[in-house]
Amino acid sequence: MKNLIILLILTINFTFTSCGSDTLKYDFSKIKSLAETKALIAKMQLENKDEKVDSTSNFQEITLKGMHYAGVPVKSALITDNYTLLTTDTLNFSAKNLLESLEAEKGLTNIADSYSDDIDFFWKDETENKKLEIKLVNGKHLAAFGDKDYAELTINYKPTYTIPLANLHKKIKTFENQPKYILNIRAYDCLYDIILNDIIITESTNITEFNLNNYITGPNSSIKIIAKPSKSEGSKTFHEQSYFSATIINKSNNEPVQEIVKTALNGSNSIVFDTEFNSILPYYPIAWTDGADLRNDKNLKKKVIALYDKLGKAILAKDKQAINDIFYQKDFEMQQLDFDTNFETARNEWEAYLAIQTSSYKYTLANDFEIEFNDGGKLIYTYAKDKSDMIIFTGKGYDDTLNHYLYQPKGSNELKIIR
Amino acid sequence: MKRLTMLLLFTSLFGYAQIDYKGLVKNLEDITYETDIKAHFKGIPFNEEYSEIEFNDERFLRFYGVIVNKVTFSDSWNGKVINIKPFNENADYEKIKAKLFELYGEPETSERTTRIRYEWETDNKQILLSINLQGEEEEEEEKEETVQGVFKDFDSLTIVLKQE
Repeated sequence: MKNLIILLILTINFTFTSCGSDTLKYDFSKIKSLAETKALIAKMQLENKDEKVDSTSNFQEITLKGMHYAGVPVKSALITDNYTLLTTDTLNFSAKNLLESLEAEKGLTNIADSYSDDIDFFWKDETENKKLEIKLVNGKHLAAFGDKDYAELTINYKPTYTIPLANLHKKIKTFENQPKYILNIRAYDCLYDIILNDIIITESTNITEFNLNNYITGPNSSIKIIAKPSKSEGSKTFHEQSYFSATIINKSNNEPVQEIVKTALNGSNSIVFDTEFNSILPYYPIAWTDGADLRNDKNLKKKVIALYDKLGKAILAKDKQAINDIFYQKDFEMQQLDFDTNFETARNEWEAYLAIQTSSYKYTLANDFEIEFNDGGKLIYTYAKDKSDMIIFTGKGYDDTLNHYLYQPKGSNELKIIR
Repeated sequence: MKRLTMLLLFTSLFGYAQIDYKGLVKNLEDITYETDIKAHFKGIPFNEEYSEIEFNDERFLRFYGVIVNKVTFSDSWNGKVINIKPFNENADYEKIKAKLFELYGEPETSERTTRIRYEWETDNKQILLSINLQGEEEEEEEKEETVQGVFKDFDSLTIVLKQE
């Protein structure tokens, strides 16, 4: 019985490959990059000299026989430098077969929202994006496909990044409990400063939601909120209906952690709410915890300028390793504190740095700025006075600014970006 | 042995492990108040928003044998709420209605010119089946008189599973 089964498999496999050698010659499911696509086109060109196949063109439609995706015949392939669009024929349940081939390769995924009558699926991973559009012709839906239904598959191959910052999701640890502490504020006619663990995270704001994890370095945290009159219409006192309330919740289970009950605000003096809460996390960042006290550092201004100058030079020199080194600790700790293992977060962050690098031809630094000391002088934030921000990158019709929390590791003489 | 053979055959032909589509099909009538929805539907993609879980792949959803377009699960004060959206096929409606009559008997019925509504209630569940009708009398929607119309589409098919 066992031998019979093996023989059967081998026979069918042989029959499939030998009989299909003419009909299934060019398999797009094996292609994983634009370079491999070009190589496949070159092969098509070589084997089909009578057909018009141009391996150098960056936009062409090919309708050669023998094209397929994992055994599903492809009627036409539109190949550009940005994407490959494969269209199946309208025979033999090709839409169903292509969907099932992709699901075998990539796994099941949700049906995506579509503005047309098509049924769309997306798969995204680190090397490629695939979008499958199913066009029903004589089918009703996914559970009742018709033999004439066909499909269009669009493939975008992504660049490969080896730089650690673009791959830091691989370093993110996951835990059974992954708390995300969020401050939710309900207030009327007032502004407020928020100071978490002696770090001023915002001033005179009316924003109602803050992610606190990025400023937590241990299991106990303090939070101070200073509510002030909104000064609307020139008034220096609270409106008679002014109030303030806030709740810290753990968003991972929606449980409240600490509450500031609704309090009526009156008079002209700021009102301070001061409390502590359990900020237990399965991971605490090193962050600025081993930072030096910078309050009496006479060279601090020079160090701030030197750091942003180093960043500016790295961007203009397109020095990817230097850019990585400047931002790695900040980006890693923030993605870890979000327990985010999604490859897109790191990739998007890296591509944002690359976009600045691509678009900029010069940078300008603030030379006059105010320094704010946080957490006993271990963490600083600077407010530019002579420029719109600490560093301004300029390109043709483009500008971008950056400003970050900085610290100086003990034993070092250089500042580092940390948030 | 047969399954193993098929698996080997497909693997050797296509290089990828095929998905067991039949094995993933879920009969929504089997769900009880105690069912852990995510565990029950393990392997099937879903959307989750505001504590509502939605499955929208008709290949895996059945209700008494009828293909279901979409189903959502949510919790309310009176129990676990299942909202089922079949495709708007008269035959499917007739099949579901017949099954519910067979299982739960005569419902509380409300018939209007443009809508028929059936409601069954047992100790552990409440079922609401409501359809829209199409007919010449559509513009007289507000009238309470009973008119036999033709099935147009499903208005609502909701099951509330109560804690026993």
